[in-house]
Amino acid sequence: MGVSLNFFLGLSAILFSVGLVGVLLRRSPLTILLSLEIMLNSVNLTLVAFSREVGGSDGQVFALIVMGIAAAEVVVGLGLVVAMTRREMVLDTDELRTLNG
Amino acid sequence: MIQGPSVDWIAIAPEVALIVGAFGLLLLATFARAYERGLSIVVGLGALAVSVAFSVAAWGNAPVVTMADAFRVDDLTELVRITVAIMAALVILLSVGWARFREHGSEFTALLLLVCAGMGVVAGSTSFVTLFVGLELFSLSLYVLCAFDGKSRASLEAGFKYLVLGTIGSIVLVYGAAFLYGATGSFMYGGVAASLAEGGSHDSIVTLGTALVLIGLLFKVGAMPFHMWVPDVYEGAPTQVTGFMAGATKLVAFVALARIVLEALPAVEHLWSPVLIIAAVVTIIGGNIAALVQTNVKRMIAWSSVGAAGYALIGIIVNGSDGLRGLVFYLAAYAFTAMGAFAVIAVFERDQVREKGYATLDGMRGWGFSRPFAAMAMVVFLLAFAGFPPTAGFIGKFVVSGTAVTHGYAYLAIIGAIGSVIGLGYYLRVILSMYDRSRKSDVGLPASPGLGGATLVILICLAVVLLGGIVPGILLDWSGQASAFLAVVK
Repeated sequence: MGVSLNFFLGLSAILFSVGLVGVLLRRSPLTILLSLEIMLNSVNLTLVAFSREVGGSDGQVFALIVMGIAAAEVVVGLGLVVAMTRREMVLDTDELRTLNG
Repeated sequence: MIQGPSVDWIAIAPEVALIVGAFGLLLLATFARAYERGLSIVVGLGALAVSVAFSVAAWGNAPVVTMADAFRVDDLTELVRITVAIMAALVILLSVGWARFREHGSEFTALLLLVCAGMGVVAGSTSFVTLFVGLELFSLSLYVLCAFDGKSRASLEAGFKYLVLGTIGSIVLVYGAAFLYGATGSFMYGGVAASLAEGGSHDSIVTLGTALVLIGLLFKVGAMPFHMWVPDVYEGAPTQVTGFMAGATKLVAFVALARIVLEALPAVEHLWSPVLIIAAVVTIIGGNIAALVQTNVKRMIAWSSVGAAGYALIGIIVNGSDGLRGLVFYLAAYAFTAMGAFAVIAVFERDQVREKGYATLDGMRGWGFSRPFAAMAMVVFLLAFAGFPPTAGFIGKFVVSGTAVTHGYAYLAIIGAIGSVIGLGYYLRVILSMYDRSRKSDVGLPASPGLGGATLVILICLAVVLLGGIVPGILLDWSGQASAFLAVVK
Protein backbone atom coordinates (compact mmCIF):
# COMPACT_ATOMS: atom_id res chain seq x y z
CA MET A 1 0.00 0.00 0.00
CA GLY A 2 1.87 3.04 -1.26
CA VAL A 3 -0.16 5.98 -0.06
CA SER A 4 -1.65 5.94 3.43
CA LEU A 5 -5.36 6.17 4.20
CA ASN A 6 -4.92 9.47 6.03
CA PHE A 7 -3.66 11.14 2.86
CA PHE A 8 -6.91 10.27 1.05
CA LEU A 9 -9.07 11.30 4.00
CA GLY A 10 -7.18 14.61 4.24
CA LEU A 11 -7.56 15.28 0.52
CA SER A 12 -11.28 14.46 0.63
CA ALA A 13 -11.75 16.75 3.65
CA ILE A 14 -10.05 19.56 1.72
CA LEU A 15 -12.23 18.91 -1.35
CA PHE A 16 -15.34 18.82 0.86
CA SER A 17 -14.41 22.17 2.43
CA VAL A 18 -13.65 23.74 -0.94
CA GLY A 19 -17.06 22.62 -2.21
CA LEU A 20 -18.88 23.85 0.89
CA VAL A 21 -17.16 27.26 0.80
CA GLY A 22 -17.99 27.45 -2.91
CA VAL A 23 -21.69 26.78 -2.28
CA LEU A 24 -21.84 29.33 0.51
CA LEU A 25 -19.82 32.14 -1.09
CA ARG A 26 -20.17 31.97 -4.88
CA ARG A 27 -23.10 33.75 -6.47
CA SER A 28 -23.58 32.06 -9.83
CA PRO A 29 -26.02 29.13 -9.70
CA LEU A 30 -23.75 27.28 -12.13
CA THR A 31 -20.73 27.60 -9.84
CA ILE A 32 -22.90 26.47 -6.93
CA LEU A 33 -23.86 23.31 -8.85
CA LEU A 34 -20.17 22.79 -9.65
CA SER A 35 -19.29 23.12 -5.96
CA LEU A 36 -21.94 20.54 -5.05
CA GLU A 37 -20.28 18.14 -7.49
CA ILE A 38 -16.90 18.74 -5.81
CA MET A 39 -18.48 17.84 -2.46
CA LEU A 40 -20.00 14.66 -3.93
CA ASN A 41 -16.63 13.68 -5.36
CA SER A 42 -14.96 14.14 -2.00
CA VAL A 43 -17.49 11.62 -0.66
CA ASN A 44 -16.63 9.25 -3.50
CA LEU A 45 -12.94 9.53 -2.70
CA THR A 46 -13.64 8.73 0.95
CA LEU A 47 -15.77 5.73 -0.01
CA VAL A 48 -13.14 4.27 -2.33
CA ALA A 49 -10.32 4.91 0.14
CA PHE A 50 -12.19 3.16 2.95
CA SER A 51 -13.18 0.39 0.56
CA ARG A 52 -9.49 -0.36 -0.04
CA GLU A 53 -8.83 -0.26 3.70
CA VAL A 54 -11.79 -2.44 4.72
CA GLY A 55 -11.57 -4.84 1.79
CA GLY A 56 -14.47 -6.01 -0.35
CA SER A 57 -16.20 -3.91 -2.97
CA ASP A 58 -19.13 -2.37 -1.06
CA GLY A 59 -17.59 1.09 -0.93
CA GLN A 60 -16.74 1.12 -4.63
CA VAL A 61 -20.24 0.03 -5.58
CA PHE A 62 -21.72 2.79 -3.42
CA ALA A 63 -19.34 5.31 -5.07
CA LEU A 64 -20.71 4.26 -8.48
CA ILE A 65 -24.29 4.72 -7.23
CA VAL A 66 -23.36 8.17 -5.85
CA MET A 67 -21.97 9.10 -9.28
CA GLY A 68 -25.15 8.05 -11.01
CA ILE A 69 -27.30 10.04 -8.60
CA ALA A 70 -24.96 13.05 -8.89
CA ALA A 71 -25.57 13.04 -12.64
CA ALA A 72 -29.34 13.09 -12.07
CA GLU A 73 -28.86 15.91 -9.57
CA VAL A 74 -27.04 18.04 -12.13
CA VAL A 75 -29.73 17.41 -14.75
CA VAL A 76 -32.41 18.72 -12.38
CA GLY A 77 -30.20 21.62 -11.29
CA LEU A 78 -29.37 22.71 -14.82
CA GLY A 79 -33.02 22.34 -15.80
CA LEU A 80 -33.95 24.77 -13.04
CA VAL A 81 -31.21 27.19 -14.14
CA VAL A 82 -32.55 27.08 -17.72
CA ALA A 83 -36.09 27.74 -16.44
CA MET A 84 -34.80 30.67 -14.39
CA THR A 85 -33.00 32.11 -17.41
CA ARG A 86 -36.18 31.85 -19.48
CA ARG A 87 -38.03 33.82 -16.83
CA GLU A 88 -35.23 36.39 -17.24
CA MET A 89 -34.18 36.00 -13.65
CA VAL A 90 -30.67 37.32 -13.03
CA LEU A 91 -28.19 34.50 -12.57
CA ASP A 92 -26.89 35.84 -9.27
CA THR A 93 -28.03 34.23 -6.03
CA ASP A 94 -27.79 37.58 -4.23
CA GLU A 95 -30.72 38.61 -6.42
CA LEU A 96 -32.84 35.59 -5.39
CA ARG A 97 -34.60 37.56 -2.70
CA THR A 98 -38.27 37.16 -3.56
CA LEU A 99 -38.41 34.78 -0.60
CA ASN A 100 -36.66 36.28 2.35
CA GLY A 101 -37.05 36.61 6.07
CA MET B 1 -21.45 -15.12 -13.41
CA ILE B 2 -22.53 -12.65 -10.75
CA GLN B 3 -25.62 -13.69 -8.83
CA GLY B 4 -28.15 -10.87 -8.39
CA PRO B 5 -29.84 -10.43 -5.04
CA SER B 6 -33.11 -12.28 -4.56
CA VAL B 7 -36.10 -9.97 -4.85
CA ASP B 8 -39.42 -10.52 -3.12
CA TRP B 9 -41.70 -8.87 -5.67
CA ILE B 10 -44.79 -9.00 -3.45
CA ALA B 11 -42.96 -7.10 -0.71
CA ILE B 12 -41.94 -4.27 -3.02
CA ALA B 13 -45.18 -4.31 -5.05
CA PRO B 14 -46.38 -0.91 -3.73
CA GLU B 15 -43.26 0.82 -5.10
CA VAL B 16 -43.39 -1.15 -8.35
CA ALA B 17 -47.04 -0.13 -8.86
CA LEU B 18 -46.14 3.53 -8.37
CA ILE B 19 -43.16 3.46 -10.73
CA VAL B 20 -45.08 1.56 -13.42
CA GLY B 21 -47.91 4.07 -12.99
CA ALA B 22 -45.54 7.04 -13.33
CA PHE B 23 -43.87 5.90 -16.53
CA GLY B 24 -47.05 4.42 -17.97
CA LEU B 25 -48.78 7.75 -17.47
CA LEU B 26 -45.98 9.68 -19.21
CA LEU B 27 -46.16 7.26 -22.13
CA LEU B 28 -49.96 7.35 -22.40
CA ALA B 29 -50.08 11.15 -22.17
CA THR B 30 -47.68 11.44 -25.11
CA PHE B 31 -50.23 9.71 -27.35
CA ALA B 32 -53.36 11.30 -25.89
CA ARG B 33 -52.43 14.91 -25.24
CA ALA B 34 -56.05 16.04 -25.42
CA TYR B 35 -57.04 13.87 -22.46
CA GLU B 36 -53.98 14.71 -20.37
CA ARG B 37 -55.84 16.02 -17.32
CA GLY B 38 -58.37 13.20 -17.07
CA LEU B 39 -55.69 10.61 -17.77
CA SER B 40 -53.45 12.04 -15.03
CA ILE B 41 -56.22 11.94 -12.46
CA VAL B 42 -57.34 8.41 -13.33
CA VAL B 43 -53.88 6.82 -13.67
CA GLY B 44 -52.48 8.79 -10.70
CA LEU B 45 -55.26 7.85 -8.30
CA GLY B 46 -55.33 4.31 -9.74
CA ALA B 47 -51.63 3.68 -9.13
CA LEU B 48 -51.92 5.10 -5.61
CA ALA B 49 -54.96 2.89 -4.93
CA VAL B 50 -53.13 -0.24 -6.13
CA SER B 51 -50.15 0.70 -3.98
CA VAL B 52 -52.32 1.23 -0.91
CA ALA B 53 -54.15 -2.06 -1.58
CA PHE B 54 -50.85 -4.00 -1.58
CA SER B 55 -49.76 -2.24 1.63
CA VAL B 56 -53.07 -2.87 3.40
CA ALA B 57 -53.01 -6.53 2.37
CA ALA B 58 -49.56 -6.93 3.93
CA TRP B 59 -50.50 -5.05 7.13
CA GLY B 60 -49.87 -7.16 10.21
CA ASN B 61 -47.77 -9.76 8.39
CA ALA B 62 -44.39 -10.78 9.73
CA PRO B 63 -41.58 -8.47 8.53
CA VAL B 64 -40.04 -9.42 5.16
CA VAL B 65 -36.40 -8.63 4.44
CA THR B 66 -35.46 -8.51 0.78
CA MET B 67 -33.04 -6.92 -1.72
CA ALA B 68 -29.89 -8.45 -0.19
CA ASP B 69 -31.21 -7.59 3.32
CA ALA B 70 -31.14 -3.87 2.49
CA PHE B 71 -34.91 -3.33 2.51
CA ARG B 72 -37.32 -4.38 5.24
CA VAL B 73 -41.07 -4.38 4.87
CA ASP B 74 -42.69 -4.23 8.29
CA ASP B 75 -45.77 -2.46 9.63
CA LEU B 76 -43.85 0.81 10.00
CA THR B 77 -42.96 0.71 6.30
CA GLU B 78 -46.60 -0.07 5.46
CA LEU B 79 -47.92 2.77 7.63
CA VAL B 80 -45.57 5.27 5.94
CA ARG B 81 -46.47 3.95 2.48
CA ILE B 82 -50.21 4.24 3.17
CA THR B 83 -50.01 7.73 4.73
CA VAL B 84 -47.80 9.06 1.94
CA ALA B 85 -50.04 7.59 -0.77
CA ILE B 86 -53.14 9.17 0.81
CA MET B 87 -51.30 12.52 0.99
CA ALA B 88 -50.40 12.23 -2.70
CA ALA B 89 -54.02 11.43 -3.61
CA LEU B 90 -55.11 14.57 -1.74
CA VAL B 91 -52.51 16.60 -3.69
CA ILE B 92 -54.00 15.33 -6.97
CA LEU B 93 -57.52 16.24 -5.80
CA LEU B 94 -56.29 19.73 -4.86
CA SER B 95 -54.63 20.21 -8.24
CA VAL B 96 -57.67 19.39 -10.38
CA GLY B 97 -58.60 23.00 -11.02
CA TRP B 98 -55.06 24.31 -11.38
CA ALA B 99 -54.25 25.79 -14.82
CA ARG B 100 -50.73 24.38 -14.70
CA PHE B 101 -52.19 20.90 -14.07
CA ARG B 102 -54.32 21.13 -17.19
CA GLU B 103 -51.20 21.74 -19.33
CA HIS B 104 -48.66 19.52 -17.57
CA GLY B 105 -50.76 17.18 -15.45
CA SER B 106 -48.96 14.02 -16.54
CA GLU B 107 -45.52 15.32 -15.55
CA PHE B 108 -46.85 16.60 -12.23
CA THR B 109 -48.59 13.32 -11.40
CA ALA B 110 -45.67 11.15 -12.56
CA LEU B 111 -43.27 13.10 -10.34
CA LEU B 112 -45.68 12.78 -7.43
CA LEU B 113 -45.85 9.00 -7.88
CA LEU B 114 -42.03 8.82 -7.98
CA VAL B 115 -41.88 10.84 -4.74
CA CYS B 116 -44.16 8.26 -3.08
CA ALA B 117 -42.04 5.37 -4.38
CA GLY B 118 -38.86 7.02 -3.04
CA MET B 119 -40.49 7.61 0.33
CA GLY B 120 -41.49 3.94 0.56
CA VAL B 121 -37.88 2.96 -0.14
CA VAL B 122 -36.59 5.34 2.57
CA ALA B 123 -39.11 4.10 5.13
CA GLY B 124 -38.05 0.47 4.68
CA SER B 125 -34.33 0.90 4.15
CA THR B 126 -32.01 -0.96 6.48
CA SER B 127 -28.83 0.09 4.74
CA PHE B 128 -27.28 3.48 4.00
CA VAL B 129 -27.19 2.59 0.30
CA THR B 130 -30.94 2.02 -0.05
CA LEU B 131 -31.53 5.03 2.20
CA PHE B 132 -29.50 7.29 -0.09
CA VAL B 133 -31.09 5.99 -3.28
CA GLY B 134 -34.63 6.39 -1.87
CA LEU B 135 -33.81 9.79 -0.40
CA GLU B 136 -32.55 11.11 -3.71
CA LEU B 137 -35.42 9.54 -5.67
CA PHE B 138 -37.98 11.47 -3.65
CA SER B 139 -35.87 14.62 -3.12
CA LEU B 140 -35.01 15.11 -6.80
CA SER B 141 -38.67 14.70 -7.76
CA LEU B 142 -39.71 17.11 -5.00
CA TYR B 143 -37.25 19.79 -6.18
CA VAL B 144 -39.01 19.78 -9.55
CA LEU B 145 -42.48 19.77 -7.94
CA CYS B 146 -41.49 22.83 -5.85
CA ALA B 147 -40.45 24.67 -8.99
CA PHE B 148 -43.46 23.40 -10.94
CA ASP B 149 -45.33 26.69 -11.03
CA GLY B 150 -43.07 27.88 -13.86
CA LYS B 151 -44.87 31.20 -14.16
CA SER B 152 -43.98 32.24 -10.65
CA ARG B 153 -40.46 33.42 -9.81
CA ALA B 154 -40.97 32.48 -6.17
CA SER B 155 -41.65 28.87 -7.18
CA LEU B 156 -38.46 28.58 -9.27
CA GLU B 157 -36.47 30.25 -6.52
CA ALA B 158 -37.91 27.83 -3.96
CA GLY B 159 -37.04 24.86 -6.19
CA PHE B 160 -33.45 26.00 -6.65
CA LYS B 161 -32.90 26.81 -2.97
CA TYR B 162 -34.37 23.44 -2.01
CA LEU B 163 -32.10 21.70 -4.53
CA VAL B 164 -28.94 23.34 -3.18
CA LEU B 165 -29.69 22.98 0.54
CA GLY B 166 -31.32 19.55 0.20
CA THR B 167 -28.32 18.27 -1.72
CA ILE B 168 -25.93 19.58 0.94
CA GLY B 169 -27.97 17.64 3.51
CA SER B 170 -27.79 14.44 1.44
CA ILE B 171 -24.04 14.85 0.84
CA VAL B 172 -23.31 15.39 4.54
CA LEU B 173 -25.40 12.29 5.34
CA VAL B 174 -23.58 10.08 2.85
CA TYR B 175 -20.19 11.52 3.92
CA GLY B 176 -21.05 10.42 7.46
CA ALA B 177 -22.15 7.01 6.18
CA ALA B 178 -18.74 6.69 4.46
CA PHE B 179 -16.95 7.28 7.79
CA LEU B 180 -19.18 4.79 9.60
CA TYR B 181 -18.38 2.31 6.81
CA GLY B 182 -14.68 2.97 7.32
CA ALA B 183 -14.98 2.31 11.05
CA THR B 184 -17.28 -0.72 10.90
CA GLY B 185 -16.87 -2.16 7.39
CA SER B 186 -20.60 -2.23 6.68
CA PHE B 187 -23.34 -0.06 5.21
CA MET B 188 -26.08 -2.18 6.80
CA TYR B 189 -27.67 -0.75 9.96
CA GLY B 190 -27.40 -4.15 11.61
CA GLY B 191 -23.75 -4.55 10.63
CA VAL B 192 -22.85 -1.07 11.89
CA ALA B 193 -24.64 -1.71 15.19
CA ALA B 194 -22.96 -5.09 15.73
CA SER B 195 -19.51 -3.68 15.03
CA LEU B 196 -20.05 -0.65 17.26
CA ALA B 197 -21.32 -2.87 20.09
CA GLU B 198 -18.07 -4.87 20.04
CA GLY B 199 -16.17 -1.63 20.40
CA GLY B 200 -13.13 -0.78 18.31
CA SER B 201 -10.22 1.58 18.14
CA HIS B 202 -11.79 3.92 15.60
CA ASP B 203 -13.40 6.24 18.13
CA SER B 204 -12.66 9.50 16.32
CA ILE B 205 -13.92 8.17 12.98
CA VAL B 206 -17.12 6.85 14.61
CA THR B 207 -17.71 10.21 16.30
CA LEU B 208 -17.15 12.11 13.06
CA GLY B 209 -19.40 9.73 11.10
CA THR B 210 -22.18 9.90 13.69
CA ALA B 211 -22.01 13.70 13.79
CA LEU B 212 -22.20 14.01 10.00
CA VAL B 213 -25.09 11.51 9.73
CA LEU B 214 -27.01 13.43 12.42
CA ILE B 215 -26.42 16.79 10.70
CA GLY B 216 -27.60 15.36 7.38
CA LEU B 217 -30.77 13.94 8.98
CA LEU B 218 -31.53 17.13 10.93
CA PHE B 219 -31.31 18.95 7.58
CA LYS B 220 -33.90 16.58 6.15
CA VAL B 221 -36.35 16.82 9.07
CA GLY B 222 -35.97 20.61 9.06
CA ALA B 223 -34.85 20.93 12.70
CA MET B 224 -32.89 23.93 13.91
CA PRO B 225 -30.13 24.94 13.28
CA PHE B 226 -30.47 23.30 9.84
CA HIS B 227 -33.94 24.63 9.08
CA MET B 228 -33.05 27.60 6.85
CA TRP B 229 -34.54 26.05 3.71
CA VAL B 230 -37.95 25.36 5.27
CA PRO B 231 -39.61 28.84 5.26
CA ASP B 232 -38.41 29.80 1.78
CA VAL B 233 -39.33 26.48 0.20
CA TYR B 234 -42.73 26.21 1.92
CA GLU B 235 -43.65 29.76 0.89
CA GLY B 236 -42.51 29.53 -2.73
CA ALA B 237 -43.70 26.02 -3.64
CA PRO B 238 -47.20 25.47 -5.07
CA THR B 239 -49.47 25.31 -2.01
CA GLN B 240 -50.61 21.70 -2.44
CA VAL B 241 -46.95 20.62 -2.73
CA THR B 242 -46.20 22.55 0.47
CA GLY B 243 -48.96 20.63 2.24
CA PHE B 244 -47.47 17.36 1.01
CA MET B 245 -43.95 18.33 2.13
CA ALA B 246 -45.08 19.50 5.56
CA GLY B 247 -46.75 16.16 6.24
CA ALA B 248 -45.23 13.36 4.19
CA THR B 249 -41.61 14.51 3.98
CA LYS B 250 -41.48 15.16 7.72
CA LEU B 251 -42.94 11.71 8.53
CA VAL B 252 -40.51 9.91 6.22
CA ALA B 253 -37.45 11.86 7.38
CA PHE B 254 -38.29 11.10 11.01
CA VAL B 255 -38.79 7.40 10.32
CA ALA B 256 -35.35 7.37 8.64
CA LEU B 257 -33.84 9.22 11.61
CA ALA B 258 -35.47 6.83 14.11
CA ARG B 259 -34.34 3.73 12.20
CA ILE B 260 -30.75 4.98 11.97
CA VAL B 261 -30.24 6.08 15.56
CA LEU B 262 -32.10 3.09 17.03
CA GLU B 263 -30.99 0.32 14.66
CA ALA B 264 -27.52 1.44 13.55
CA LEU B 265 -26.25 3.65 16.36
CA PRO B 266 -27.68 2.31 19.67
CA ALA B 267 -24.14 1.72 20.97
CA VAL B 268 -23.25 5.40 20.72
CA GLU B 269 -26.41 6.78 22.36
CA HIS B 270 -24.15 9.02 24.49
CA LEU B 271 -23.18 10.80 21.25
CA TRP B 272 -26.58 11.37 19.63
CA SER B 273 -28.85 11.76 22.62
CA PRO B 274 -27.44 15.17 23.81
CA VAL B 275 -27.35 16.47 20.23
CA LEU B 276 -31.02 15.60 19.69
CA ILE B 277 -32.01 17.09 23.07
CA ILE B 278 -30.34 20.42 22.25
CA ALA B 279 -31.81 20.37 18.74
CA ALA B 280 -35.30 19.69 20.15
CA VAL B 281 -35.14 22.55 22.67
CA VAL B 282 -33.74 25.06 20.16
CA THR B 283 -36.22 23.93 17.48
CA ILE B 284 -39.36 24.15 19.64
CA ILE B 285 -38.54 27.59 21.06
CA GLY B 286 -36.87 29.06 17.95
CA GLY B 287 -39.45 27.83 15.45
CA ASN B 288 -42.40 29.14 17.46
CA ILE B 289 -40.81 32.53 18.19
CA ALA B 290 -39.89 33.04 14.53
CA ALA B 291 -43.47 32.15 13.53
CA LEU B 292 -44.74 34.87 15.84
CA VAL B 293 -43.40 37.70 13.66
CA GLN B 294 -44.55 36.37 10.26
CA THR B 295 -47.25 38.15 8.28
CA ASN B 296 -47.50 35.58 5.47
CA VAL B 297 -49.64 32.66 6.66
CA LYS B 298 -47.80 30.09 4.51
CA ARG B 299 -44.51 31.22 6.00
CA MET B 300 -46.00 31.24 9.49
CA ILE B 301 -47.11 27.60 9.19
CA ALA B 302 -43.68 26.77 7.75
CA TRP B 303 -42.02 28.11 10.92
CA SER B 304 -44.57 26.33 13.08
CA SER B 305 -43.72 23.10 11.25
CA VAL B 306 -40.08 23.71 12.21
CA GLY B 307 -41.35 23.82 15.80
CA ALA B 308 -43.35 20.62 15.22
CA ALA B 309 -40.12 18.85 14.25
CA GLY B 310 -38.94 19.62 17.78
CA TYR B 311 -41.90 17.78 19.35
CA ALA B 312 -41.27 14.79 17.14
CA LEU B 313 -37.60 14.76 18.21
CA ILE B 314 -38.78 14.31 21.82
CA GLY B 315 -40.38 11.01 20.75
CA ILE B 316 -37.01 9.72 19.52
CA ILE B 317 -35.07 11.02 22.54
CA VAL B 318 -37.43 9.31 25.00
CA ASN B 319 -37.04 6.23 22.87
CA GLY B 320 -39.23 3.86 24.88
CA SER B 321 -42.06 2.08 23.10
CA ASP B 322 -44.55 4.82 24.15
CA GLY B 323 -42.25 7.55 22.85
CA LEU B 324 -42.07 5.94 19.43
CA ARG B 325 -45.81 5.32 19.36
CA GLY B 326 -46.29 9.00 20.16
CA LEU B 327 -43.82 9.97 17.43
CA VAL B 328 -45.63 7.97 14.75
CA PHE B 329 -49.10 9.10 15.86
CA TYR B 330 -48.05 12.76 16.16
CA LEU B 331 -46.46 12.83 12.69
CA ALA B 332 -49.33 10.97 10.98
CA ALA B 333 -51.87 13.33 12.60
CA TYR B 334 -49.65 16.31 11.72
CA ALA B 335 -49.61 15.25 8.07
CA PHE B 336 -53.40 15.47 7.81
CA THR B 337 -53.54 18.72 9.79
CA ALA B 338 -50.92 20.39 7.57
CA MET B 339 -52.53 19.12 4.37
CA GLY B 340 -55.90 20.47 5.51
CA ALA B 341 -54.48 23.86 6.49
CA PHE B 342 -52.67 24.27 3.17
CA ALA B 343 -55.82 23.16 1.30
CA VAL B 344 -57.65 26.06 2.96
CA ILE B 345 -54.82 28.42 1.97
CA ALA B 346 -55.08 27.08 -1.59
CA VAL B 347 -58.80 27.97 -1.60
CA PHE B 348 -57.93 31.45 -0.30
CA GLU B 349 -55.25 31.94 -2.96
CA ARG B 350 -57.75 31.07 -5.69
CA ASP B 351 -60.08 33.74 -4.31
CA GLN B 352 -57.27 36.29 -4.44
CA VAL B 353 -55.95 35.81 -7.97
CA ARG B 354 -55.97 39.53 -8.66
CA GLU B 355 -53.96 40.34 -5.54
CA LYS B 356 -51.09 38.03 -6.57
CA GLY B 357 -52.55 35.28 -4.39
CA TYR B 358 -50.42 35.89 -1.33
CA ALA B 359 -52.00 34.59 1.87
CA THR B 360 -51.03 37.45 4.16
CA LEU B 361 -52.67 38.11 7.51
CA ASP B 362 -53.88 41.44 6.18
CA GLY B 363 -55.30 39.90 3.01
CA MET B 364 -57.25 37.32 5.04
CA ARG B 365 -59.14 40.00 6.96
CA GLY B 366 -62.86 39.25 6.88
CA TRP B 367 -62.39 36.27 4.56
CA GLY B 368 -64.01 33.94 7.10
CA PHE B 369 -67.41 35.49 6.38
CA SER B 370 -67.11 34.86 2.64
CA ARG B 371 -66.10 31.20 2.89
CA PRO B 372 -67.56 30.02 6.19
CA PHE B 373 -66.80 26.30 5.74
CA ALA B 374 -63.14 26.69 4.77
CA ALA B 375 -62.55 29.23 7.52
CA MET B 376 -64.17 27.03 10.18
CA ALA B 377 -62.01 24.13 9.01
CA MET B 378 -58.95 26.39 9.26
CA VAL B 379 -59.84 27.15 12.88
CA VAL B 380 -59.91 23.41 13.65
CA PHE B 381 -56.57 22.82 11.89
CA LEU B 382 -54.92 25.73 13.70
CA LEU B 383 -56.19 24.45 17.06
CA ALA B 384 -54.84 21.02 16.12
CA PHE B 385 -51.42 22.59 15.37
CA ALA B 386 -51.56 24.31 18.77
CA GLY B 387 -52.53 21.04 20.46
CA PHE B 388 -56.08 21.74 21.62
CA PRO B 389 -58.70 19.06 22.33
CA PRO B 390 -60.70 17.55 20.69
CA THR B 391 -58.19 17.27 17.84
CA ALA B 392 -55.57 14.67 16.93
CA GLY B 393 -52.89 17.32 17.52
CA PHE B 394 -53.82 17.36 21.22
CA ILE B 395 -53.52 13.57 21.56
CA GLY B 396 -50.19 13.60 19.69
CA LYS B 397 -48.64 16.28 21.88
CA PHE B 398 -50.19 14.72 24.99
CA VAL B 399 -48.70 11.27 24.32
CA VAL B 400 -45.27 12.68 23.43
CA SER B 401 -45.12 15.01 26.47
CA GLY B 402 -46.57 12.38 28.80
CA THR B 403 -43.89 9.84 27.91
CA ALA B 404 -41.23 12.54 28.25
CA VAL B 405 -42.35 13.06 31.86
CA THR B 406 -42.52 9.36 32.78
CA HIS B 407 -39.05 8.72 31.31
CA GLY B 408 -37.37 11.53 33.22
CA TYR B 409 -37.34 14.21 30.56
CA ALA B 410 -39.89 16.46 32.29
CA TYR B 411 -37.98 19.58 31.24
CA LEU B 412 -38.59 18.68 27.57
CA ALA B 413 -42.34 18.46 28.26
CA ILE B 414 -42.19 21.91 29.93
CA ILE B 415 -40.30 23.39 26.94
CA GLY B 416 -42.93 21.80 24.68
CA ALA B 417 -45.74 23.39 26.70
CA ILE B 418 -44.03 26.81 26.50
CA GLY B 419 -43.71 26.37 22.74
CA SER B 420 -47.43 25.53 22.49
CA VAL B 421 -48.37 28.67 24.40
CA ILE B 422 -46.23 30.82 22.10
CA GLY B 423 -47.81 28.98 19.17
CA LEU B 424 -51.30 29.85 20.34
CA GLY B 425 -50.30 33.53 20.00
CA TYR B 426 -49.86 33.44 16.24
CA TYR B 427 -52.59 30.89 15.48
CA LEU B 428 -55.04 33.25 17.22
CA ARG B 429 -53.80 36.11 15.00
CA VAL B 430 -54.85 34.14 11.92
CA ILE B 431 -58.26 33.33 13.40
CA LEU B 432 -58.86 36.95 14.52
CA SER B 433 -57.84 38.18 11.08
CA MET B 434 -60.23 35.80 9.28
CA TYR B 435 -63.15 36.93 11.46
CA ASP B 436 -62.35 40.65 11.45
CA ARG B 437 -65.77 42.36 11.35
CA SER B 438 -64.37 45.63 10.05
CA ARG B 439 -63.94 44.11 6.61
CA LYS B 440 -66.95 41.84 6.61
CA SER B 441 -68.51 41.36 3.22
CA ASP B 442 -72.14 40.21 3.29
CA VAL B 443 -71.97 38.53 -0.08
CA GLY B 444 -70.66 34.98 -0.15
CA LEU B 445 -68.04 34.38 -2.85
CA PRO B 446 -69.23 32.42 -5.88
CA ALA B 447 -67.88 28.89 -6.08
CA SER B 448 -64.84 29.01 -8.33
CA PRO B 449 -64.16 26.16 -10.75
CA GLY B 450 -62.18 23.27 -9.37
CA LEU B 451 -62.96 23.99 -5.74
CA GLY B 452 -64.87 20.70 -5.44
CA GLY B 453 -61.55 18.88 -5.06
CA ALA B 454 -60.40 21.27 -2.37
CA THR B 455 -63.64 20.90 -0.40
CA LEU B 456 -63.28 17.11 -0.49
CA VAL B 457 -59.67 17.36 0.72
CA ILE B 458 -60.64 19.68 3.57
CA LEU B 459 -63.47 17.32 4.56
CA ILE B 460 -61.20 14.26 4.62
CA CYS B 461 -58.52 16.03 6.66
CA LEU B 462 -61.12 17.45 9.02
CA ALA B 463 -62.58 13.97 9.58
CA VAL B 464 -59.18 12.43 10.37
CA VAL B 465 -58.12 15.30 12.65
CA LEU B 466 -61.37 15.22 14.64
CA LEU B 467 -61.73 11.42 14.77
CA GLY B 468 -58.09 11.17 15.85
CA GLY B 469 -58.90 13.55 18.68
CA ILE B 470 -62.25 12.10 19.79
CA VAL B 471 -61.67 8.36 19.35
CA PRO B 472 -57.86 8.12 19.20
CA GLY B 473 -57.77 4.48 20.35
CA ILE B 474 -57.64 2.80 16.96
CA LEU B 475 -55.13 5.23 15.47
CA LEU B 476 -52.96 4.88 18.58
CA ASP B 477 -53.13 1.10 18.23
CA TRP B 478 -51.99 1.30 14.61
CA SER B 479 -49.15 3.66 15.54
CA GLY B 480 -48.13 1.38 18.38
CA GLN B 481 -48.19 -1.68 16.12
CA ALA B 482 -46.04 0.10 13.52
CA SER B 483 -43.54 1.60 15.94
CA ALA B 484 -43.07 -1.77 17.65
CA PHE B 485 -40.75 -2.65 14.78
CA LEU B 486 -38.24 0.01 15.76
CA ALA B 487 -35.59 -1.54 17.93
CA VAL B 488 -35.95 -0.10 21.42
CA VAL B 489 -32.72 0.55 23.25
CA LYS B 490 -33.94 0.94 26.81
